[in-house]
Amino acid sequence: MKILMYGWEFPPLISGGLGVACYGIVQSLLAAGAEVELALPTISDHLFTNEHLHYLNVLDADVAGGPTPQPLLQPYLNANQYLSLKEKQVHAALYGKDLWEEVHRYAETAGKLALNTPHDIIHAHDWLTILAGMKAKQISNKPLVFHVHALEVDRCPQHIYQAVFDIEKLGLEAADRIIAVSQYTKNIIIEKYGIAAEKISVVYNGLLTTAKKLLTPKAQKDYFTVLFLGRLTEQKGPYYFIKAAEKVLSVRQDVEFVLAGDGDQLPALMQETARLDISQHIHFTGFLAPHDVGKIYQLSDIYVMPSVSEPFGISCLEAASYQLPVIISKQSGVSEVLSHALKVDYWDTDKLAACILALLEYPALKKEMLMHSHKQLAKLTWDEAAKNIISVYNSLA
Amino acid sequence: MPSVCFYFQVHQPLRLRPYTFFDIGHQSHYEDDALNQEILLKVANKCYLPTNALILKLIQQTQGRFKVAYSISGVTIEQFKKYSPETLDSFKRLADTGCVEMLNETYYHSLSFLFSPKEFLAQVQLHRELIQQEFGQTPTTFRNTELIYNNDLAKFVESLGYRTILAEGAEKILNGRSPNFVYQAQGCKQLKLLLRNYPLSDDIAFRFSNIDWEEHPLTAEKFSHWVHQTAGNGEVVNLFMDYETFGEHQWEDKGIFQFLAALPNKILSHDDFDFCTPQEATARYPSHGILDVPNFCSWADIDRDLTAWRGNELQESALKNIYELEAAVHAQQDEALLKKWRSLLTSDHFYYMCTKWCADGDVHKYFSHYDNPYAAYINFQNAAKDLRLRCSQ
Repeated sequence: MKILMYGWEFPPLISGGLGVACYGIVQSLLAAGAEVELALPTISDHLFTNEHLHYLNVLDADVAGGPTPQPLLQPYLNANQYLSLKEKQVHAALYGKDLWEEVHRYAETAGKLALNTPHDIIHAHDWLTILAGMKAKQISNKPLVFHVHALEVDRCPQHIYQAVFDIEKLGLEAADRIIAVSQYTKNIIIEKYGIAAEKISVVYNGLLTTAKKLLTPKAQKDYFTVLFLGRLTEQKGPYYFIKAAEKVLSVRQDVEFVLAGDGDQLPALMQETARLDISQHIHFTGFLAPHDVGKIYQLSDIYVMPSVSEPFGISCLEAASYQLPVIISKQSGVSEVLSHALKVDYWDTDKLAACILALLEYPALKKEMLMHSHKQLAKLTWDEAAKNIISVYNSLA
Repeated sequence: MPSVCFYFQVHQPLRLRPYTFFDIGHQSHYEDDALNQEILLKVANKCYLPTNALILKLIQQTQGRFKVAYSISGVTIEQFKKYSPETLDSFKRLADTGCVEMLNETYYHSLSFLFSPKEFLAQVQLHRELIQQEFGQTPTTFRNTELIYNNDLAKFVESLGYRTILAEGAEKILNGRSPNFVYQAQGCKQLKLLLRNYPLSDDIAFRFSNIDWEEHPLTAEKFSHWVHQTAGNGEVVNLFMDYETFGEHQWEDKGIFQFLAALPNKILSHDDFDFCTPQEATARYPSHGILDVPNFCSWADIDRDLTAWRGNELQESALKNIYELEAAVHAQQDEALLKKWRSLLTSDHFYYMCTKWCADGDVHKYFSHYDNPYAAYINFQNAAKDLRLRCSQ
């Protein structure tokens, strides 16, 4: 089976969970015998290689000739960020006048890959690629699978960018089959986008490797480290992490809180920690490269994911694989598969703080959670996800 | 003449309120009064009141040939007094018929025998006095929490003067022998043992409404036929179950009350069969042999051991934590504090912390008001921490 896949980010170029998921899916699809033609906006020199995986440079598809610049798109990009990104380009005039136009320009070009690339199925990830997928379907008339990792209503619950929402809705309607990363996301697709439940399959994400070996033994230290890892955006709930930190620190001071990630809320969060007078216990690391992510997990004692709306939350599986007990928001997909976690409503910072304190206070809690989540992680693999994706393909073939 | 011996367990724990780390040192009321009242009233209406009325009627209709036994925990009787005195009255009316035996257990439905013989004795004594006071009976039959039993318990209970004790008819105890006889406890002279016939008990308690069960629907006629088949190789069929089976676990609209209403006459339709209470059973039937039970067994889960309460790190740490406080609590000489501590010994608190995620885990979930075992553990440990604080003041 030949899959024409429209990916977005791919290791080593990743800025979030989408790249990790795409990598896991492609690897396991290949292992299951599928052939993957993977279209990416940027082809790096260091991509992983496999004889049944071909990278497609969207530039190759442009038959019109003339100078065509690399698309200026990145996951999690918003309209304003696009404009400032464009200003920095030498040939700014060649790009779409706004994000909307750029997305369409990309879709037109990337979609045409379908002309010269034999395939049985078209598989697109998230809104940035779904228009390309739709264009490809127009050309080849092959079934289109829309894999939903995150939606506009997750990303900006308070400030939905209507154009993105419209693209998502268009794609969800046009797709022959939708894959949602959780029941949580499936419900949102049904309720907010008005799509029929029968059209949506839930396929949970997996974990690349389980049971991480600690590279170095845990450092002897006389304080605990609580970790937040993710973009510092409204969606990820870093503000609630800070509020909970304040409450924990009111009870005990031997705790350090780390926010690993970058995002538009960073200045506000720094101000808030100063205002609460807890700056000495709060550490902002900025964006972390994959290697450093592994390190920060190892240095931590508790992982917290207070997302306002989290379609899945792969980082929780990673954290658990590094033997961290995790506290997750109930508004997340991962809570459907990770039973041995503490679960709180994202807004309930009292409860979140109380959970952190309980983990610090009662060591048996961590021990019991880790023993069970270890067993559960072993079953959450990309191979299992790929098996389910292939059965979605087969239902369309 | 074989007998059918019914014993019903009546127990409602004092569930804890959401008690966070921030409450420690500030708030020493641990129980969720509203929730406990709500559940007690719900169960009283669905089960206790209608079933008591039915059983009273059956005793009258059969001129006292229908007999049953109850074990009602002390914390449940307290809740009856507080929230539903009419339920307690209806139990008293049953006790007054002379056809109902009230059994003795630990007042707080605790695991105290496993941790503190002194506390166990105190709770048995408290419960004994409560039963005398409320029902005018002096119990001669003992049943330990969740039918937890072994040789040591039997010896201890015999030393307290009891004649009869109940246990689970688990295969690992019986080794191929029948549960339908009276046995003698290993190391005891007087104390006799009645063993739960779990297949027949669970036909009513667990399988009654299960439409996937090949015997569904279960009629009084069919069930009596199974009971009658024991004639010739058994003397007493012990049907032990939670009283909440009637109307709460098995719903009224599934016909559980019709079943119960029809059962006594169907059983009695065989001339050789009658009903008896546990103390009558052991008085009437001789011991069929000595039963040696060195290891603890119980009626819980498929394991029939202690793992429902002592199966993981959470439970062990919580149990150790709370029993550790015994001396400190007594040293305070504060009745209210002692009562708070004892209430935290109730076995249900530890049952909620069970992490066996198999079929039994679902049963644990059904009975739990917590999201998961971790929430149960955190809540309990927080309350226990507050209590510890109060012991040091």
